[in-house]
Amino acid sequence: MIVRLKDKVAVVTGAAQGFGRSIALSFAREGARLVIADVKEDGAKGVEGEVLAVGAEVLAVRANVSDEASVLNLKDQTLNRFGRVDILVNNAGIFPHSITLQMAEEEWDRVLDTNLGGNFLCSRAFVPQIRSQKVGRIISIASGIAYRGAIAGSHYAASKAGIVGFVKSLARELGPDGITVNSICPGIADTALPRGRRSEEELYAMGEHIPLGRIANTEDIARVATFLATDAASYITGQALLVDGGSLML
Amino acid sequence: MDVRNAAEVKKVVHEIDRRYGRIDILTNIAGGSFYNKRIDELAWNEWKEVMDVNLKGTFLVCREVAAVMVRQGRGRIVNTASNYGVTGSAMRTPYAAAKAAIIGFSKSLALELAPHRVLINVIAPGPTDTPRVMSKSTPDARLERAQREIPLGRTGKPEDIAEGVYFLVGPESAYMTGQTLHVNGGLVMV
Repeated sequence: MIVRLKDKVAVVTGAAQGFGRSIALSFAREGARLVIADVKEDGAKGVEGEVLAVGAEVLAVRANVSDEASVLNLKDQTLNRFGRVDILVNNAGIFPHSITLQMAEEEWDRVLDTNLGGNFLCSRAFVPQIRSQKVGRIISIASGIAYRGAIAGSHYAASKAGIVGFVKSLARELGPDGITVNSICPGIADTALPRGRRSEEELYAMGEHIPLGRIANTEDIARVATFLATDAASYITGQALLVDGGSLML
Repeated sequence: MDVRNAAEVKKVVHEIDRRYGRIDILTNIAGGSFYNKRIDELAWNEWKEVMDVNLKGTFLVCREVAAVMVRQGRGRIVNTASNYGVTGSAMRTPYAAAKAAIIGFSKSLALELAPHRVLINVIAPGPTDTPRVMSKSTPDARLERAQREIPLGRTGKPEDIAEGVYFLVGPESAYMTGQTLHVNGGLVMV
């Protein structure tokens, strides 16, 4: 089998579950070496074991992407172990549900600092190393909610729309260095985050209203992230790829 | 095959279906801007020519091939737009209109055919080193413009576009339909 990410070093934030876990495993199957970063240390260790089972080198790091010192520690541990970084996947995110008029300022800050601020802190931390290598990939997980909004999720929508704008600007800044920066906007997916108060049945029933007739699974997103990480996507930058079964067509 | 000729398209697609019994992938690439004219210099037949090759041709080929794909219950179609379909382009009003129309057409077709597991997406190249483009400018001029305007500092190669199309017809894009993939080095970010 031809592997397309042989020996690349990939850092995936929020990799203990959901999209991050599937992306990490997909990269591992393509020959990459993985850094599993997550605020949930036990979860990160679990995925570390799964990546090892694929036969890839892996390092699990407890990291809070909204904490500057924690992100710098993630960078230091990554470079100490692997000496380079080729791919950064900004995936870590949170989605508490609150009606805007009842939303606490603390919750607003936490969502923006984690989802959008985490993109900034992680990108800022890793870009000098990636830039020195003259080639690299940054992939951020935004959301279809960036475009459509969500009831009880105005902070989440703002953070995800912010990611799309951040990615475009970073793509312009880093283009001359051969670094591509893109975002993926998943639709409703079978992850822990969108469930909120919905039952399992209600979540899957939402697929009936999607042109392709089903909600996304994490593999749908991981496959697109893998494409963006490979040489095949070397002339794609600043784009937001909607992976939502045709729910939104922009 | 002349994509503007409905009878010819029907005949060719029928022959492919007869010979192979199926069509899994359709890529509509045929097209061109042809004219570089202000709107008051543009003849109706020139407008029609650009529309027919780019837009009507896409419609005619999709119409015939989609019928085969619906019968199969699966298929992939990639239509070709352009960054000009989003940004517009002075002196190329019919081309920009046709390419924008291909995006709208493809979204509608994606909605119609999703229940049949036929996926329709669009590839939108930016400035690309095709023989037609290269015959109109010098390598130095293209490089100078690319370094000035394109974040990745170079014009596209046909291989860059091919990779995008390959992605859109492969398993990695199985949950994408009605989307437009811009392959333009960051020139246009939608």
